Amino acid sequence: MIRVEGLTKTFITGRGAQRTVVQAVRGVSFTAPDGAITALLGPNGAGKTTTLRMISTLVKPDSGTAMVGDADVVRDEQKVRAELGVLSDARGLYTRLTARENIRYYGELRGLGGDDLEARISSLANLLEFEPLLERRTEGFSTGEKLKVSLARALVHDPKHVLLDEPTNGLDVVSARALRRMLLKLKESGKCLVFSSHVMQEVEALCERVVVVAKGQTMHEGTVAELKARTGKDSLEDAFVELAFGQGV
Amino acid sequence: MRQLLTVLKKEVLDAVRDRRVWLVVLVTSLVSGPLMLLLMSKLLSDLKSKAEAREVLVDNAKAAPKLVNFFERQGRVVKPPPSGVRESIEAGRFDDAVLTIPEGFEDDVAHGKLVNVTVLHDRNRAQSATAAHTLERLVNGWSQEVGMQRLLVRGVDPALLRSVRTTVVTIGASRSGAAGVLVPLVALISAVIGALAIAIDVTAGERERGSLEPLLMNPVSAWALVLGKWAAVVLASLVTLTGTVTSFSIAGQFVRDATMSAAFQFGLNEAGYTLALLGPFCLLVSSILMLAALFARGHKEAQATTSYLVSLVSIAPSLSLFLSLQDSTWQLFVPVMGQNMLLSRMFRGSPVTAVDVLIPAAVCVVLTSLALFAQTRLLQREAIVFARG
Repeated sequence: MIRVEGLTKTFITGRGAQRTVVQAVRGVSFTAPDGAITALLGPNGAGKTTTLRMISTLVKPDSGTAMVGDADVVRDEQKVRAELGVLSDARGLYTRLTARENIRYYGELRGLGGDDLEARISSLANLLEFEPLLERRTEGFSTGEKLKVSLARALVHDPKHVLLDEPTNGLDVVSARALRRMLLKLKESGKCLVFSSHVMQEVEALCERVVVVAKGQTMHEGTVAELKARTGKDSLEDAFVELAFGQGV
Repeated sequence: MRQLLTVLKKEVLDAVRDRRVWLVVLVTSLVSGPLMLLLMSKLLSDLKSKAEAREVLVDNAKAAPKLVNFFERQGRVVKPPPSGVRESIEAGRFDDAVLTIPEGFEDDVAHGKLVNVTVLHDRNRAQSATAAHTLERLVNGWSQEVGMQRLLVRGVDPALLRSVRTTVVTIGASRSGAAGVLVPLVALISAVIGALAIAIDVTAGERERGSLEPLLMNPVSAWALVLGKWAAVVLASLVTLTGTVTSFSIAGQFVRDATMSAAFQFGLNEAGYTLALLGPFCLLVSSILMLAALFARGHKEAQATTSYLVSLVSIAPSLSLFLSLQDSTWQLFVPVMGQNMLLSRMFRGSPVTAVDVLIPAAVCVVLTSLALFAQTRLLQREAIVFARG
C-alpha cells in the first residue's frame, strides 16, 4: 500500500531578477491499496510527475509524508527504492547494450544475479511480449519496444509497488493494449499500482480508484462511479473537467 | 562494493562497444610514438643536414671576390639566391638565409671602412635561423682574418686582442632537447584524451539519454555510482597512457642515429617512471572531466565545457617553457605543471627524489576526492537529475 498525506513541493529556479518560484505540489493526499490500480488523473502541469518523483525518493518533499509499504520516503530512502518499481517519464536505455544486458544491469544493482536473474529476465520478456528482442542491442528500438524494456527493467526485482508515469504516452494502439494487459496481470498478482495519465478511456478501463489532481492539489479521491455521482455527470471526462477546471469549461 | 563493481562492469562493457572510445585509445597510443619519432628525426636531420650543407646563398657575390674566396677555403659552395626571397619568407616557405653584399664592398674594405652586409632569414623557421647563424659566423671569420692582417701589417701581435678564452663544458645536455618538451606533453594529453569520451558518456550521456533518473531510482548509494563510473574512466585513461608510453619505448628501440637516440632515450625505466608519475594524474583527470561533464545536459555541451580543461593541460607545459620557469617546489603542487616538470627532469637526467614524486601524487589524490565528493552531491540535485538535453 502507498499512503500519501499532504505532500507539498516548491521549486525555485534562477537567481536575482530571474528568480521564479513554482509551487508544483500544494497538498496531494491519497491511498493506493494493494491488488488495485490507482490512477492519478490530472491536466498537464497538475503536479502528477512531481508527486511520483517524491514517492520514488528522487525529490524531497517540503512537507507532508509518503509511505511505501511501511517505509517512509524521507527516512528510509533505500528501503523505498528497494520496494518500488518505477517507470518514469525518463526511459533512457543504454543503446550499446542488449535488452537483456540493460535489464540485467538493474537486476545486479538490486543484488540479484546468476541463473535466477536470467530466468526472471526471460519470463519478463515473455510476459511483456518482446522475447525476440532480448538479445538485440536497443539502438533503433521503437518507442513501444523501448517502453517494454524499461518496464521489464523496473520490474526485474519483482517489486510490491509499481509507479508508472504516463506509460502509454507515444504508444500505438497495439502496444498500449499489450501494456494494459500487463498492468491487469500485475494487479491480479496483488501488487499496488499507481499510474498517472490524462487519457480517460484508459483510466476507466483499468482503474478501480481515481485520484484527480489539479493545480497541485487532490480534488477528488474515490472510484470512477463515485466521481461521476459526485459531479452528476455521465462520462468520466465531463466529471474530470468539472473537478479539475471548475464549471463552464 | 558489489554495486560499485556492477557499475564498473557495465560502463566498461558500454565503452568497449563504443567505437569512438576505441578509435581514440588506439590512435593516440599507436600513432603518438612513431609520429613523435618522425617529427623529431625530421627536425634533427634537417638541422644536421643544413648545418653540414656546403651551400651558402650570397647575393651580389661578384662585389666581394675575397670574401667568396674565404668561403670557398672553408669548404663552402657559394650560390646566388633564388628570385623572390622576401616573398618566400613572408609566405613561410624559405628554409635558408641569404647574405647580401653591397656594391663597392671590396674597395670599402680595402680603405678600412666599416662595411655593412645583411643576412636575410625567417626567424620563425629553425632551419632558416641555423643558416643565418652559419653565414654570420663565416662573415665574422673573414672579418677577423682581415683585422688580424691589418694588425700584423702594423706590427701588432693579434693575440694581444684576446685576454680570455672560454671553453664550454656541457653536462647532461645530450639527454635534453626536443624530447624533454614533446614527450611529457604528449603523455599528459594522452591521459586526458583517453578519459574524455567515457567521462562525458557516463555523466552528460546519462542525462542526455534520460537514463540517469531511472538509474538513481535503484537502491544504490551515490558513492557506489560515482566510484564505479570513475573507475571505468580511470581505466580508459590508464590504458591510453600505457599504450602511448609503450609506443614511445618501442619507437625508442628503433632509433639508430646517434643524435636521435641521445635526444630520445625512452627505455623501460623511463616508461615505468612516466607511468608511476602520471598514474595519479589519471585519477585526477578522470574525476575532473566527469565533474565538468556532469553539469552538461548532453554530449555537445559537455565537449564545450571539457575543452577548456583539455586546452589547460596542453597549455601548462608550454607556459613553463615560455616563462622559462625554473624548477621550483611550488610547481610540484600545481597539477600538470608538477608532472611536466618531473618528466622534463627525467629527460634531462636530473635527480628526482621520492618526495618530488609523492607531492604531486598527494595533490592529485586530494583533488580527486573533492571532485568525486562534489559529484555525489550533484547527483542529489533536482536540476542535474531531471534537466535533460
